[in-house]
Amino acid sequence: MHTTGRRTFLKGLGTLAVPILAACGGAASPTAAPTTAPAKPTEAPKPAATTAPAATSAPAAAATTAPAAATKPAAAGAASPAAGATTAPAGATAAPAGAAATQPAGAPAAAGGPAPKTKSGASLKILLWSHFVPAYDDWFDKYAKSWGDKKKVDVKVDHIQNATIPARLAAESSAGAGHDLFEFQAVLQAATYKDKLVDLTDIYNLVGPKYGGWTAMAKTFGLVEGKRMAIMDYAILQPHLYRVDYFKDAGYDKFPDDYPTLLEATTKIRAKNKDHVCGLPLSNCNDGNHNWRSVIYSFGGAEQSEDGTKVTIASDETLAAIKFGVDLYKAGMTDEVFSWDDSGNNRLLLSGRGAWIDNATSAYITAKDQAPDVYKNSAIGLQPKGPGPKGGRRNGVDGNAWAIWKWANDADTAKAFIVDWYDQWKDWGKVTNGYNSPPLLDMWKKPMPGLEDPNFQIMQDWRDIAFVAGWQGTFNAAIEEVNATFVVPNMVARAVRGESPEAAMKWGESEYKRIFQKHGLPG
Amino acid sequence: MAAAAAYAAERRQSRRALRKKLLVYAGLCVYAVVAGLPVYWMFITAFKPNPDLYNLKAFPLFFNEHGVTLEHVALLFNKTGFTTWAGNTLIVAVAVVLITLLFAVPAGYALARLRFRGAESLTIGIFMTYLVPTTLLFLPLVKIISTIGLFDKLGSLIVAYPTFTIPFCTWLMAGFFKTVPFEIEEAAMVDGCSRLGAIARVVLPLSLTGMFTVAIFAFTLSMQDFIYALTFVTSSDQKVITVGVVTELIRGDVFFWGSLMAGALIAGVPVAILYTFFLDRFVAGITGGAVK
Repeated sequence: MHTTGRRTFLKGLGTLAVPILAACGGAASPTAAPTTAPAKPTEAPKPAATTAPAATSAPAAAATTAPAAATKPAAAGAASPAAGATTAPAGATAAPAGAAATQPAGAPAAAGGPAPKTKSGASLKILLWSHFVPAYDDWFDKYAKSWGDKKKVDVKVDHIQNATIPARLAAESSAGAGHDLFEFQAVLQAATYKDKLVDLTDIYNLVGPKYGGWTAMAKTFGLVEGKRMAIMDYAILQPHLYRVDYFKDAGYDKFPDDYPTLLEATTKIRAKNKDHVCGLPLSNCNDGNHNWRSVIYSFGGAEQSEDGTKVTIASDETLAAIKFGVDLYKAGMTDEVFSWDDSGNNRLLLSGRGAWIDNATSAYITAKDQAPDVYKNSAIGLQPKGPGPKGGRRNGVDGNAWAIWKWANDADTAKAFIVDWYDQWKDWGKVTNGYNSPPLLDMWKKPMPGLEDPNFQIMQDWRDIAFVAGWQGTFNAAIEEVNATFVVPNMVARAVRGESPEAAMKWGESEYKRIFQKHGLPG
Repeated sequence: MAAAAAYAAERRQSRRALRKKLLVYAGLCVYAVVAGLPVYWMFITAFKPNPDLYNLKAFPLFFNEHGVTLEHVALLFNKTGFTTWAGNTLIVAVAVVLITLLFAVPAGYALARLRFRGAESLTIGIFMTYLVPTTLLFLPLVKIISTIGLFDKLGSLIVAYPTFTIPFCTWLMAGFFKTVPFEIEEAAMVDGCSRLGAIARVVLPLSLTGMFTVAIFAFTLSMQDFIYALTFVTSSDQKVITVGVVTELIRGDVFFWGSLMAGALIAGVPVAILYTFFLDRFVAGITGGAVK
């Protein structure tokens, strides 16, 4: 009796142990590779201009020569739409006349080969971030459904929080299943998953000419070894959101035009009220990434050479930017910036303590409902200029991009959806109040949809001062990792915490070089 | 004289007892405040209007100038799929509890009673698997889930969660079975019960406390998991609360604090009630299992 029972239980135990051990043993599975070890690239990414059509003026040049009128918002701190509109940067006027802004939605492709065809009866599963503007999600879901009904495609859209997208993509990559079409949100991983993504070069070449060509930032986004593994759907600009009343009290009728004046104004504002501070995150969050890139780029510091092979972060300009960061922290920030996530600076502004932050317009728009007094006294300011001979007006922005998994139910159907989505640019521009900043030149013709509100019109002058990570090269695999490991904000944070700026920069350079060499680049 | 001395001694003793009680309750009060404050704050936030939430001059632990609002709760129920997620969470939690009991009880019994070679090491080994973090496991597990065709289905969670509930609960049950005197079981068998009969008639009824503990533990773990729920399921109609509220109520860098807190509060209440009802059994189960 005893023996039988023991055997029975041992058998049961064995049955139990097998799946548990199998599951645990699986931890060492090589399937984890995509998240931890980005795909081994790469030949040096080609400069965008050689592979992309219809370029505008070089970004650096455009940034440093941004028109004076655009840099001077109107009185009382409000951004000047009229000034911006009449003095559009060269790139904006370079767009071919009569291009897509006047084209009806769904106009046939102008160039770049045949449009992809949908397969009747196919299914299309789309993964997007939960957009800051809920109305966009509503619009997108309705549009996707009607598109699917029209094309006889079963379309399903899922939205998840942006910070959780990388984990979800890692899971889908490991499973080889999940969605067909998805959106990288700020954290571009086109190089990481290059072997698992469909080449979208044909779509890039099809859509670009239709709308006067891609913007400079879109040209370098998602380009992996000469192929378009992801293409930008829109960028999220990062203007300065500031309290008009605080600046006025300190003697500034408008948002400072350059960083030294901004530092001076911040000091004066805090001297008047010690609670009125500014905030750029010195933590591992996406806002930290692009906020400090704006400072470094504007001071003239660059992350890598134009061909993307050499690390150039250690420079006199970057050093000056780091020193500025230390001074700005001492003058106008509190230690809360070390613990912020992406919502930290939003909360600072909404609380009424924030004198200024560098963020997408989300913080400003949210204030309308959540903190009406803050909204009433706030405005959107242009990116300040950096000092010195290489200084300019360069704003680090987030980019989002479409990508299709290789195991998509029908890649051509997914491609067709993308092409048709670009044709709806007026609708998605309008519904997001211009939060979705277009990646194609003709879509920047004034007046841009969604930016009719005078407070937002300054955003129409942003195209040539907008830079995604990796300047002066492309957003390559190494930069993807630099971005994902928050080297830039950590470099500044080290100096702010007491390390010498030189040592902090040296640390930053060593991190860049380590990452570049890991990706097979000289560094 | 002697009576007076006895009276004084008695008073001293009662004062000492009172002092001791006061100290104990003071300590408990501090602990209760520390433990309860976040929940209280969550409650206040769930019903506080936005202008007060973002006004730093407004004391966060009281309702302020704009009073109380139900708009956060309304948003939660009217503009998100909260009820669906709550239903999904319940389905998953109940299924995981059943599966965990089904495996952990016999496995725990075997480890406690059947003295085979390596039983002790196996007990420790099973417990150790509980310590492997889910962040390491989700990638290999997702492959298994995909292979068996459960990717993006609620069933994936029902299959995955037992991988971390069963090891701990087996260890817990093994410890608990050791507290049940073997003589009772033996007596049942002497009286004619088979081993299975003795388990069913004697051991299990005496182990109800342990099984309650296991059930509560599995239920709570299933409700609070995030990483598996996030990576295995994306469809809105398949989401559980932990992922659903985060997905719909955190949009980029904008947090809908009021609704987030309302969602967390509503999800937390059933668990809190469960703990309140079965607290004694839970404590007995945990300590009974732990000391052996």
